[in-house]
Amino acid sequence: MSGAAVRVRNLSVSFAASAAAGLPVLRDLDLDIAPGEFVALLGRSGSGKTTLLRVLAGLQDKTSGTLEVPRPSSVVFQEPRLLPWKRVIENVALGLREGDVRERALAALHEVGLEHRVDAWPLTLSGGEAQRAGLARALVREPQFLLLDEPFASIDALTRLRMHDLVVDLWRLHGPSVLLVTHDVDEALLLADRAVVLDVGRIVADVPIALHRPRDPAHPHFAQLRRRILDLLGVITHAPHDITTGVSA
Amino acid sequence: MLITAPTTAVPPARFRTGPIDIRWAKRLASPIALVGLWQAGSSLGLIPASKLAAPSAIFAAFWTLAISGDLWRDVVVSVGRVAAGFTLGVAIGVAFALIVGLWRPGDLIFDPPLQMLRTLPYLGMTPLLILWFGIGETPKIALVAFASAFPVYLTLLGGIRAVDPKLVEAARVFGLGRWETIRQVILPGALAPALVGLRYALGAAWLSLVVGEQINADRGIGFMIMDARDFLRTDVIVLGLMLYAILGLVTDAIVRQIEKRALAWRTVA
Repeated sequence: MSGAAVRVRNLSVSFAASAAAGLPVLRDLDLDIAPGEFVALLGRSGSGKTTLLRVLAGLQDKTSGTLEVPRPSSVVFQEPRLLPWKRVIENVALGLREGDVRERALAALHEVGLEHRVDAWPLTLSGGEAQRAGLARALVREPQFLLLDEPFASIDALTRLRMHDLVVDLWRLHGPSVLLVTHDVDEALLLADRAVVLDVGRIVADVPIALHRPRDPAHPHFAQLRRRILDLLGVITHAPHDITTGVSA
Repeated sequence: MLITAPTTAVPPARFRTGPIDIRWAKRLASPIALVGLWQAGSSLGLIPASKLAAPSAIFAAFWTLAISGDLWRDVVVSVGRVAAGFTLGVAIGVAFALIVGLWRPGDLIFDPPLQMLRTLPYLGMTPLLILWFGIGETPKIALVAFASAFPVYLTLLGGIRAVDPKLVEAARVFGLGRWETIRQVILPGALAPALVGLRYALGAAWLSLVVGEQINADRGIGFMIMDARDFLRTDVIVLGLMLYAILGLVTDAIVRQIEKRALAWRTVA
């Protein structure tokens, strides 16, 4: 593995439809993620960021290139994707076979603060609770590599802040490599070690975020990074008092 | 044939003034009045017994036949025919829905002919069934089975196809194999529409039994009715119709109970 947990070389992905139009979704892409590193993947809609996550998660085939991904890996989706006919704990334990499955699922639910909703039906959960159940379902597999596909996009702003803290805490506790797909620059700057910016299927920037945690959006370096990334994403930020806080997808 | 059951919603508190549910009493008033008028009309000779027997005569017929045991013998025979035909039909419907819904070649091989058969007016098939199976129990059970199979086939297949592909994908990510995915994701996801289909199938089963039993039956509720016609016994005819209705309602209530338990996850507070 030569130091990197995730290693992507010359990755290209084309869909039948896009190939006809002569436009691959991902073009000749290289990406390394170190063990325990938290990488945010930013890009506009159609930049290919979700495709990259899906290829890394094994949900989609690559057209060419090489791919090394540590196992086990696990995904938290944008929609929680809980099975509505299984109770929360059964959803968390889905597909688990080894050891005391119930005990492991309970421990994971405890970690995300859902111990009081163990036997609830998913349709009775709030958006934040459902997403925490999704996080527990991913973490219970003790992944070496955790893929987060805009998991906070459909959660209200206050709950999202709490989820950010929770994700950072659990990441530090378990230490998986993380790839967070997001369109929210502030979210990337609050959570990740590195921001990778994707545009039309290529990585156009790889920005280290050298800020201490917990991070302070008021820090001058934070604002500077935000401006730089927004620039890369094609958002005009020349005005000195720009109050743009994110890029909508 | 199936009578719409009165609503079971909890009435507003102002109606719940005592142990007797006044709203229920109010809803029962007009049917009771109607039966009263019917009885009065019969007693006064306005409704001839050869056209429609009086409620009291119907009850008397019920009493006589219940005591002699003929009634129960016929009911058991009819219920037995529906049970056999319905079970067979549901099994066939489920089997084809699974093959067509889960196996791509099955869709091409079986779905087109099944969609064609579905449009046949199955109640008109009785003469053909008699030629095929004779005049015993087989053609009656076959008719019920034919009628029950399609609602289950169509709704279960529709349910399987409507399962959210995102859930199937998630199951794959979390390590479920193909059979586990079918068992834990696809079938539970298709259960709600399939149970609606089961209720349709039950209605179709009773309806086709009524038709099937009117031809060459020597036992069963249908025989009871046809036999009564020969003797102008309108009381027994109406009694037979009421038995069909009651049995239809009872079996429908059973499926609804199954529905309530199996789909408890949908009852969101």
